[in-house]
Amino acid sequence: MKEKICFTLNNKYLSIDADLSMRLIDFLRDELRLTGTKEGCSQGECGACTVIIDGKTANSCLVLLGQIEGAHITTIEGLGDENNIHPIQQAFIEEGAVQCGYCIPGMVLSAKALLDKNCGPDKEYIKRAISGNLCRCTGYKKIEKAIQRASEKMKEAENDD
Amino acid sequence: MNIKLYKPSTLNEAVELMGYNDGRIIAGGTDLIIELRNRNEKPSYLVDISSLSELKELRIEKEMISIGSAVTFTDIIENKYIKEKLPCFTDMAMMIGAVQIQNRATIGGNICNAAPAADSIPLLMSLGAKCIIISQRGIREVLLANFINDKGKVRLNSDEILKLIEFGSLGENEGCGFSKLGKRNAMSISTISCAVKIRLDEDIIDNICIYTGSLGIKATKEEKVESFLKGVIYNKQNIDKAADLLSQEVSERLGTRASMPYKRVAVKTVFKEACYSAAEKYGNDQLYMSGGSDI
Repeated sequence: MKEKICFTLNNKYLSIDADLSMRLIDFLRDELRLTGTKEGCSQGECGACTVIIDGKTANSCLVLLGQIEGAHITTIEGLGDENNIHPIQQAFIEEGAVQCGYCIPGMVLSAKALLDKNCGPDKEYIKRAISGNLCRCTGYKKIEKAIQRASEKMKEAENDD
Repeated sequence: MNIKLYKPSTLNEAVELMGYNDGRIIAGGTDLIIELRNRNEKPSYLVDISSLSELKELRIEKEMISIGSAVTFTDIIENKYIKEKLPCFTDMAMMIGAVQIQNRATIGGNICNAAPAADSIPLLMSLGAKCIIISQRGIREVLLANFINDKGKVRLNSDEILKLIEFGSLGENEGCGFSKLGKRNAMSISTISCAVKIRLDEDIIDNICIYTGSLGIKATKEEKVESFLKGVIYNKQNIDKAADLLSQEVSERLGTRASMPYKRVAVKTVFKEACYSAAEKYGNDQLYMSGGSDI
């Protein structure tokens, strides 16, 4: 049963007909082919499917499409690409914070939601912000450093403006 | 999932929708969506109340705090008044899941899901919280302690919606504390939780209310420990004795369960932490004078 829903995805306004009881992650990956959002545990424990909804992170495996009517959604595809990389992504590369990479889209979005609110977070804030994102490769240290570095980069960029 | 999802724009519309048969309310969805996918549930339709402004109010009045059922744990964490006047509530909210869950999960959902390990339930019970329930038949009130029926079951009829939870603000000489033991810091389901509300008359425990979580099918009022502590001096010796009494209670309650030998020991520290945190502002001088806390 398809019904109309309108929302903004990565700064683009969408108005579509879809099954509103579909999970947001299924809509992103299967309908829109935005496969940057990963599915891990499917029960809100691993954070691989993290997206930003109206400035706040959420597990897209625990949100129904119908629940995002009118909302602004950011997925990893909304941050940057090879030609126009986001400072958080750049910092992850520079710090060597990526190993297998599966957790990284969620990790980067959790970092973005944090840095959008708090441009100079201390270590405790960073740890709390990514506490819902599991990484089984890195041990988190390089990720924490990358987020710290990203916050410095973003502050510098702001000062240059 | 091919389930009709209604998104009412007012509480009245939501109440009307729940008047038909076999609908299910969805708020944060952090528990329900998993159940729906596991096919443990197949309601005819869903009513999404997560963005109803009438259910998102967090009202703080002089003598009463009321929290709309669709208020999220992040809303609670970000509320400055709660952080200042009821820090145990902020602490509890910060211990639920992780940021992504706190951003979506609601206080009403935590209650209505009625998990034995739900963190907000023992704390709200110790505060004497009441549930305000609405349906087309009107509004009714029920004590949270009577609202939770069994593991995963609440006394909510199929046409009813939990509207809000309310409880009295803490008085001058009252304090409240919450402590939780889990396997890790984030994404941790409580192994044991404990909430304590205490009223001190100088160094005498004038009144105390203790609820534990994850030690039975639902949060449990620890009446034996309460009656032991009522009227005695608030000091380390008495709190230690109370902790031993609670430990004995827990070992009897859990009987032959595999977790009993661990929980009967661990509960002592969880209880003491909650107690000390409840009395932090008022009476911990007595504890330090008598040798300090060992937690």
